Amino acid sequence: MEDEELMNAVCKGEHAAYQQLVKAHLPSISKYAYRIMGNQSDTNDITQETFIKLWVNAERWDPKKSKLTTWLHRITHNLCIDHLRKWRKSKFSENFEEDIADQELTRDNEIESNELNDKIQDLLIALRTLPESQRSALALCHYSGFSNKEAASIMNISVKALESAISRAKRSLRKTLMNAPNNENDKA
Amino acid sequence: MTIEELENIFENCGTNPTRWPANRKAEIERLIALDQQAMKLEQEFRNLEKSLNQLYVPDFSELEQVVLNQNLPPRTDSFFEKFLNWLFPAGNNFKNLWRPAAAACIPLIFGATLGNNFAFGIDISLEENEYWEDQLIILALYDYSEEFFYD
Repeated sequence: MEDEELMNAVCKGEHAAYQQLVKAHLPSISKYAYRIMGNQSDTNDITQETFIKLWVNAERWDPKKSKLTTWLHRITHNLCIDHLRKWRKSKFSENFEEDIADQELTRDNEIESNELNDKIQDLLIALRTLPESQRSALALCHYSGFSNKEAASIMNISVKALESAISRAKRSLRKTLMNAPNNENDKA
Repeated sequence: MTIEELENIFENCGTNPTRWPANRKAEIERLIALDQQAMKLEQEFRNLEKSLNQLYVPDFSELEQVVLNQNLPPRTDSFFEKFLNWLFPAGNNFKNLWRPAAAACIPLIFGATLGNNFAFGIDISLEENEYWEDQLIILALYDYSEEFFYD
């Protein structure tokens, strides 16, 4: 069934349709929330809240206006902003040292694991110290694969503002990679 | 196309050609194929994207069960919520503009009805109230400028 049919069924209170929607959209929603919040506990809370909002506000989604995934990401984005505001300081700055220790980095056969760990850890720290808007822009465009226009609509900003955020994010991450020991660009 | 423009495109759209502006795609590909600096720049951005893809994200398979098993609130909206949804429906904002406009007129209609049917202690049978229109006309005809000449 298509998203639209499933959402119509949710409007009628059908749990089976809701479950199908959760299964289809939970991976992308939880990953997006994790990339903004940086910890599993907040990610769990936000993902649960997002799907409760889907259940309660199903009739508010307009299929002519946006895709369901865009609408859900917008809800998640707003919840993340609320959480970050509530805690005043971003959880990143408080917990990121612990989170980095918990990280299990993927292994790349081409590069030795130590070098990779150093480089990826530097990148992770740089990513986590980025302002929220830049992190969101990068998460939506690079990881979630939204077009700049869709990402701008999720973040409720203009396309120009989004492009400026993503440019600044990539510029500072590139700088981090360039300064990282044994960076691949030096090898090239 | 200059290197700065290419850098801008890589920053905004990444290195995946499907995300590049369609009208500049051929130009970008030509520049990357011919210019050493453009080639190096593309490699730099590819490395950045590759590194970003290596960042670990936990597996949220257990979260799916948590979300599926969570208690969902009842979907019966209150009258007030239903009214709000009717007043400001999602989408077609201009088409349904009459709804908030009509709602805004309710106090006016209420006031007019009230004023028509209740006197609130104002007795219009008094003589001065009966001729209030005449008094208005006299006031309107009064030449205030005369005061300047006779003072």
